[in-house]
Order: sequence, then C-alpha cells, then structure tokens
Amino acid sequence: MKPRAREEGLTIAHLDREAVIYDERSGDLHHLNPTATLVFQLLDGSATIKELSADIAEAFGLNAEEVEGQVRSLVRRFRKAGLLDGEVASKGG
Amino acid sequence: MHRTYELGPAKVGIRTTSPTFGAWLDYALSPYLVSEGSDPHYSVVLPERSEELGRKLSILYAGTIPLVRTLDLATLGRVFLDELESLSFPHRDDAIYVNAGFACLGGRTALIPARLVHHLVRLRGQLERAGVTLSSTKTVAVDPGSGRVVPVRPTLNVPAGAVDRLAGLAPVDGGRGGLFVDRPLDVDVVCWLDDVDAALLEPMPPAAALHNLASEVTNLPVIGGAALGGLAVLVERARCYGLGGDDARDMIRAIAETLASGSAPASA
Repeated sequence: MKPRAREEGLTIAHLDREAVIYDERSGDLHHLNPTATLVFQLLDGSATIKELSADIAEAFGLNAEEVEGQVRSLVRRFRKAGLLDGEVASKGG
Repeated sequence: MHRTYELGPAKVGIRTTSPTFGAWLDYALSPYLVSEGSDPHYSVVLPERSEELGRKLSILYAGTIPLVRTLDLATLGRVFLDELESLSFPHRDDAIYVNAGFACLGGRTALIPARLVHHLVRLRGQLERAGVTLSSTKTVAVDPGSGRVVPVRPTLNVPAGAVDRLAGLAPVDGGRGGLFVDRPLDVDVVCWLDDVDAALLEPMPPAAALHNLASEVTNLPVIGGAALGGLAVLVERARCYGLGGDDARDMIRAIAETLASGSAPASA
C-alpha cells in the first residue's frame, strides 16, 4: 500500500517545521510536530511505508526499523483522522 | 425589569435592577424588542439610587459570570453592546473571531485566552495600578489578510449616540474605562493556557499557538481555511508563550513582565 495525503478540503499552515491542518470536511484541527509534518509531506502515493522509512533513515542516518515503526504509527494516526486519500475519519479518533 | 430581544437567530433575555438602565434599553434596542419572554442571559446591576451612579460599581453579568465591573457607564454600555454584537460572530465571514482578550503595557499588546480575562475582571484595579490595561471584550476580530486585531464592524441597528446617552447619566472623572479596539493592533505576544503542571511561562512553538488560537475561532466553519492563514501571520510576528500553574495573578504578572521587557522574564 502506498499512502497518499489528502489534498482536497485541507488547509495547511507550516510554521517552524511544524504544521497545523484544518479539515473542512470534518471541521477538525490538527497540530503536527516536526516528525509528523515531515512524514505527512512525504505521503505522495509514490512509495510504500517501508520504502519511505528507508529513505528517511538514510537521509537522517537513523535506524531503519525504528523509523519504520514511527512512520507506521503516524500513518495509522493520519488514517484515523481521515487525512489520507480514500479514508474517512474514525469516530473518537 | 426584564426584556427579550431578537438579535438575528438568537432571543436574548436581559434583566436589570435599574429602571434607568431599562429606559436606556428601550431607547437603544427598540427595533429588536419582542413580546415573548426568554430566560435572562444577561443581568445588569446598577446602584439603586441615581445619585450613586458613577460612585458605586455597575456590573454586567453573562449568566453568573461578571463581564465588567465599572463606575463608568460608557464602559458598561459599550461592553454590553459588544456582547450583543458578538452573538452574530459565529455566522459572519468578515473577520476571524477568536475567543480571546488582550492586555496592553507600554504600547505592547498580548493576546490572552478569554477564560483568563474572566478571571481577571475582579483584578482590573490592581492591573491598572501595575500599568496593565485589560481588554473589556472576550472576543477579538482578526483581519484574515494582515493578521492584525481590528475593530469589529457593527451590524446592530443602535442609535449612534446610545453609549454617550448612557454615559451622560453619570459622568465619571477618571473612571476606569475599559480597553476597546478602536484601530488595528499588532499583537506582540500570544500567551495561552498550558497544563497546570507546566512552568508559569514557557516559550510555545508558533504552530502550537496557532492551533490553540484556531481552536478558539467562533466562525471557523464559516470562514474555513482563511482563518489559519490570518492567524499564522499573527503568530509569526509574535512571541508565543504557554502559561502554566493555576494562579491568574501570577499569570498576569508574567505577561506584564514579558510585555515590559520585550522578552520572557528570567524569573518565569
């Protein structure tokens, strides 16, 4: 699976490597820390989580397995929040 | 006496202990008067005797929350009309309406949560002796383009001299006038409530400040993403801090020191 960040209906403000997202569909606001912001920006539908994690690990000189765990966790949270293409926000999430 | 007014989609009940204020209500808000009753949303308490006007405090309550306590009837009238105007904010798209007040010191302005303004109403005298002027409003209008706090565009059909007419009942020398937005204001500092366990004053990432402010926008569904853009301009130009603890006096002292010094105080 190659996750892709939603573009339609989202307004994103970037400040100091962090981001705030307003989702017009749900009315929700999200605050992304620098790591979450980086991952969200890279979710363009061209790479699997494994490929994406390997790229980040190589670029920042980090352990690939640890990075993959963090990326999977973030992608789960994005999916639950309805921020990925083809996803609907989960209730209570 | 009790009156009900229909202001847009809202029916607003207003109770007052003062026939004098009641007469002013009838003059100022007559186009909106309706016969059907509504539970009082606002209560206006004025001194019983007319000679005490301007010498004893007059108080405006929203429910049980005192919005303003003042000797100055002009301040009371303006806060009252601002409150009624604010009922339309969730439906408007001419500005970003944020539940926030502000404190000013030495020409600098700090945006603070509306909840903190409520706590500080009783401390207004102490604040002013410390040189801090606290806003009398709990919602500010931010221009989506410039990110500046701007005067609210009035939409209520109130006679032009209504506030002056109320003030004329008891002119006050050196009364504690409230602080209103009469011209565009740059925001120098944004202070928002953090966890009780957090330090009294700590730098807050601008994105966190933006998220906090955006969460307090009353017309976010109407104005949408434009709100983020305008508020992002505001926080980018400001120093942003989180306020910890639970003592409003400590918080305002920290805010005042920050405004006075132009940076975060070393003691905070």
